[in-house]
Amino acid sequence: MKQKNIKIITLAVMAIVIIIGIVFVSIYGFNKELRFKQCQSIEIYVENKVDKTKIKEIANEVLGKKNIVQTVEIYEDMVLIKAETITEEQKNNIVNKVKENYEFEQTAEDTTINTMPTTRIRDMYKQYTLPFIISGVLVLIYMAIRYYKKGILKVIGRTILFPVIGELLLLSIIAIARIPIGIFTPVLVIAMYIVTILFVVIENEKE
Amino acid sequence: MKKVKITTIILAIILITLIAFAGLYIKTQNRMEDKVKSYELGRALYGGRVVDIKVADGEGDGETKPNPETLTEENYETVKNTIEKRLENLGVQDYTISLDKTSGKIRIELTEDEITDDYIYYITALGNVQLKEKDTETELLSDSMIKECVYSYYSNPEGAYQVYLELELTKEGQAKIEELKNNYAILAEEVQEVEASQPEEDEEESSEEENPENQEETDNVENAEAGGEEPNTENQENTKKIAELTIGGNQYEVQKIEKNKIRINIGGETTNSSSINNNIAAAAELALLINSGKYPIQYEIESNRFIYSDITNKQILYFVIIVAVLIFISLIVLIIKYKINGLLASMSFIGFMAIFSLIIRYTNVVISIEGIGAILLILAINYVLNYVLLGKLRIINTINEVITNTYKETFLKLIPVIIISLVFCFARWANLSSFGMIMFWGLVLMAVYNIIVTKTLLKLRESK
Repeated sequence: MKQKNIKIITLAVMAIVIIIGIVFVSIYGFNKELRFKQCQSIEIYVENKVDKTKIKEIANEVLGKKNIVQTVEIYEDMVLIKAETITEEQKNNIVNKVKENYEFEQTAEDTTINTMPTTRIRDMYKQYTLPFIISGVLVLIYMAIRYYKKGILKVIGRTILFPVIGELLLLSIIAIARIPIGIFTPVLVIAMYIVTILFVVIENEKE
Repeated sequence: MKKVKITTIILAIILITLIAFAGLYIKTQNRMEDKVKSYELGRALYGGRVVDIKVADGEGDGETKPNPETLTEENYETVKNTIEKRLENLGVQDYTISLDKTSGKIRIELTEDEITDDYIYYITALGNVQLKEKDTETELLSDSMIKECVYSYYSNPEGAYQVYLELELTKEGQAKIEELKNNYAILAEEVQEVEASQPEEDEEESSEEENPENQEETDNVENAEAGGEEPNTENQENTKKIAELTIGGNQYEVQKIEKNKIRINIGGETTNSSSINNNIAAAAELALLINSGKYPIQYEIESNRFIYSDITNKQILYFVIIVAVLIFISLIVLIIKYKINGLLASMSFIGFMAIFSLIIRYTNVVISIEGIGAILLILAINYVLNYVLLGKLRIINTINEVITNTYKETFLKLIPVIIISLVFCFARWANLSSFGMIMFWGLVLMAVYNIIVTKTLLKLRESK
């Protein structure tokens, strides 16, 4: 009885989180990582091999923590700094601060602020769709064959429902907590997928 | 004796661990070189080629100024989708594409390797097919009437190969070409005939100017024609206009028009295998450009550079340290709970990690962020396997029975994970295939390694 109550409470909490997540996504959408958002960038040709850590410190000081610093080309003598917005003043500050550490010709006036285009979420992840579907179908067939004695509909239902609910829960938490989606999201999705499948297997084995 | 065997195995594990994590340095040309292969990192971890393309302003070679009416969001989207189709047809396994809907600028990020420059060529190459009148440049047949393009080759009795391209027309295209055949010289032979007769016509015109009598004769011929006499057919052929077929701005000779197909020869007939391969490559390239769709607007490359990942070595090091600490704590738990067996299993686990890292390197698996997830998952599964094994060993004293039971239990439960790993192994997307390959090698190693090393260590301990 106690276990049943815990199960009901858990399901209720999950349902509430998923509903709130859906609402958040409909209103605010997902929060994307800076590398996939529309943002602004500046490029500084430093003429020497750049110490990315130093440049990152300068960028953090001027732009705040939300910025990306990348070195360009094999000699790493150019640096690309990205942030959501970069004002003229911030650009001038960054160039002048970098000039304090390196000798190079480029001035703040020569430096332009470029706009980087956004990457759509569907473009980021559409390549994952087909392999997930194929693996899902094959796992479903396996589970139906292996555990048919427990009732095929029950097994198929669990095999579909548990991963779907798991993924919805994960995405809802990501949406609610405004965790930026980007290069780390697929790992979490795959991990949740595998964990839920293993959970289904364990539940079937228990019975 | 058993103690010596255990010590030997442990020393071998320590040696492999040192080689895997510290390297194997051998003096080569007066310097110490690490002979152990390094990891191959994916685009997110190492960096990649970033290409920015923008709408061509018409100032470059072969560029035309864009019609302002074509600079729409819809057309920018079409170009982006065409680029994606080309990249997919080329088998590019890892890319990111972004579009600025306001300016039409497109950014493409690709993995850096030997053929990245080839991919970049295809990004802006035009594959527009046009049949147009030579003199007036009037478009007679356009891309929209081309259904598909295939390439193939045939050989003649002498063994020479001819590579060709076949443009399959839509119904509309087929009807159009039938109509055009009457008034235009399209086939290479026809064009040659028309071009050959053209200097004769020019000569006739100039001689008419000198000899008015000839002009009278010509007039008489024309009058005869008007009177219903049969005209000279050669003259009729010569009045056909010339139609030129171009693909991506380059002209090609049409060899054959059969039903709804236009055949174009690529290169000449040859027995030289290198030439044949070059012709096939050229034909494949054209087919790819044509089949992936047309660019409604011409684009040019604005910048093309290699950009390193923003994930620094320091960040990777911090991550590795965190994982190492977690592994260390987990092994301490194992040792505390299972004492000597726990210690042996921990040593075995360290050896497993070392061999796993060597396998990843020598099987040329590219490590992506998903791949790192797979590594952690394998380590977790192996740890659980050892934990369950040691737990069972407390109840069942025979190691063979314990191994059989644990393996049966664990690997049967892991079959869905094995299915997922195998499917991901064959995924075209590099990040997923990285996950799949690492999971696959990890599971295989886990199955083999624990039977050979962990079982041996525990068995030696058991029979002491």
